[in-house]
Amino acid sequence: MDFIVQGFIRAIELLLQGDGETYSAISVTIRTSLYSMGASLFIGIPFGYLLGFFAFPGRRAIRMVVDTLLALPTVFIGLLVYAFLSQRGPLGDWGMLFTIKGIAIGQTILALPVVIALTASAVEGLDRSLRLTLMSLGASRKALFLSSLWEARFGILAAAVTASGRVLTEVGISMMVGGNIKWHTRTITTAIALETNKGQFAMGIALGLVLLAMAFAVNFSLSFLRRRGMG
Amino acid sequence: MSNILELRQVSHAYNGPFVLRIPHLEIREGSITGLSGPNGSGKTTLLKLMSFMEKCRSGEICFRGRPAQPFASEVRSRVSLLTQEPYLLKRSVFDNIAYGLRLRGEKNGLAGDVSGALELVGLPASFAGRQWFELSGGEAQRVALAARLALKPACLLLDEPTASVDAQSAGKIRQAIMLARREWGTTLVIASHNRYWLHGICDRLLFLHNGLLLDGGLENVLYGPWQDCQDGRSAKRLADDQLVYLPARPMPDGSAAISAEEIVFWGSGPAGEGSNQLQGVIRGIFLENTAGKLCAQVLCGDQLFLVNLADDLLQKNKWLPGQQVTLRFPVTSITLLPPG
Repeated sequence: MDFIVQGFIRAIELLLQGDGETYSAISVTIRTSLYSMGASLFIGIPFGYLLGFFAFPGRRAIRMVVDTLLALPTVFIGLLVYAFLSQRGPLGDWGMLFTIKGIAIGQTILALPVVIALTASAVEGLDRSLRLTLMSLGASRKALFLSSLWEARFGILAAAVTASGRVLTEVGISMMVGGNIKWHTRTITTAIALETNKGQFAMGIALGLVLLAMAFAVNFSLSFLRRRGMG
Repeated sequence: MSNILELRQVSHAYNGPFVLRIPHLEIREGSITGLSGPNGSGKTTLLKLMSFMEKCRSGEICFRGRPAQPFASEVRSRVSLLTQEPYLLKRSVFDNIAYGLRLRGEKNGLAGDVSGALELVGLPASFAGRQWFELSGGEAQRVALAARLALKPACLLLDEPTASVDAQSAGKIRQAIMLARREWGTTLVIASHNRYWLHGICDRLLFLHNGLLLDGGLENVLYGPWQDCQDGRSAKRLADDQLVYLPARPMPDGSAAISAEEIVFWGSGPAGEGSNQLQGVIRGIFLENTAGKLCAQVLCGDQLFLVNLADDLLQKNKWLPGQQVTLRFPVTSITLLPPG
C-alpha cells in the first residue's frame, strides 16, 4: 500500500516541478488528440448528417458497417495503419510511421465511426417537422443543412465527448504506430504502460491524474456549452 | 385579380398509389381559400405541394404565373406553411421569429420586427426572451405563426391552425391572419375540420376526398357500411335507425356526399318516393363568409349535416339550436364517391 501512497506524492511533485518527460507525454497526447478529433469531426459530422437525414439505397448497410466499426479494437487499427505506413506499405513514402501525425491518422480511424454513428442518431432523432419549419421560414439548402446540425447540437456534442474519450484513453494505436519513442511519440497512455512495467508508479500515477483532469475538462466545457445552449 | 398559385395536372404519391390528383386549381391573389375533407383526404399533402415544401410527382405548380420548385428563390419566404403541430427551433422566441428575417438578410430593426410579430398574435414583447421549452401548446402555435407573419408572406398556408389550441388562442390566430390579409394582401389557404372556422372566414371552400378535389358544395359525407333494403334500394343506417337512401349501391369502401344546398328544412308530411327525410336536432347556426348565407349544423343520429338556411325562413320559423327539425333532400342529389 505504501508504494501507492508514495507514488501519489511523487506524482504531485513531478507535476509541480514541471518534469520534462511527463510534460512531453502530455503535450504529445494533446497534439495527437487535437489532430484526430479535428479530422474526425470535420469528416464525421457531414457524413453522419447525410446518413441520418437522407433516405437512400444502401443506407442501412452503411449504417450497419459504421455501427460495427464502433467496436473496432485499437490494436487492430494500429496494425492496419502500421502496415500502410511502414516502408513496405503503400503509404511508406509518406514517412509517417513513428510520428505524431501517424498516431493521429490511427486515432482518426478510431474516432470516426463514433462521430458518424452518434451524429447520424442525433440527426435521425430530429423532429420530422424541422425540415418543413426551416423551409417555411425561407431556408435554402445550405441553411437547411446548417440549421439542422445546430438543432442536433446536443447529440453532436455527445458524439464529440464520446469520441474524445476513446482517443484520449487508447493505447494500441499510439504504441504500434507511434512506437512509444521518448520525447517524440510517447503519449500519456503508452507512458503509463511503460512506467508501470518498469515499476515507476509515480510517473504513471501523475500521468493518470492528468488524463483524468483532461477528461474532466472536456466534459466540463461541453456541459457548460450545453447549459448555455439551453439558455 | 391574378392567380398567385396555379396547379396544372398535379398528382402525388408516397411510395405507392397516388394520394392526390388535381387536374387544375387556381388560387386568386389576396383570397382566403378553405380546404375541408376527412382525414387522409390529402389536405396536408396539397398544402405541402402548394407551399413548395415538396415536389409533386407529376404536373406543375406555378407561382404568379411561373412554374416553381422547392427552394427556388422566387418562392422562399414568400410562400410559407404553418403545420398542424408547428416545430419551434431550440432557441429563444426572439431567435425563432428572427430566423427567417436573418435568412433574408434583414439585420436592422430585428427587435422591432419581432415585437411587432408577437403583438400581431396577441403575445407581449416580453415573450421574446423566453426559451422554446417555456411555452404552452397554444403559445408555441402563436409564436410559430408570428415567425411566419414576420416575413409578411405573399401566401400563407395553414394546416389545422386551431385544432390543438384553446378558444382564446384560436381567436388570436384568426385575428392575426385576417390582419395579414388586410394589411399586406396575404393570400390564405386554410385546411381545417372546423366548419364554423372555415365558413366564417373563407371566400371559397374546396372539398377534398381521397385525393380528388370535388365541387365546393359537397360538405356532407356519408361513410359505409351500406345496407341493402327489402325494396331493393341501398341505404346508410344512422345510429338512431333512420335510413338515408342512396341513388345506387356504393362500392364497399366508397362514400357518398350531399351538398348543403340540396338539403332543406321540411315542415311536416311524408317523405316522397325520391326523397330522404330525416329527424334531427339543430346543433348550431352560423353565418357563412362566402356569400353571407346562414348555415345550420343538424345532428341526425350520429351524422352531422350542414344545411343552408334561407334568411326569411329562419325569421319566420324562429329556429334555434336544440330544436327538433326535419331535413329533406332528393335521393338523386347524393353523389357516390369512389374509394381511395
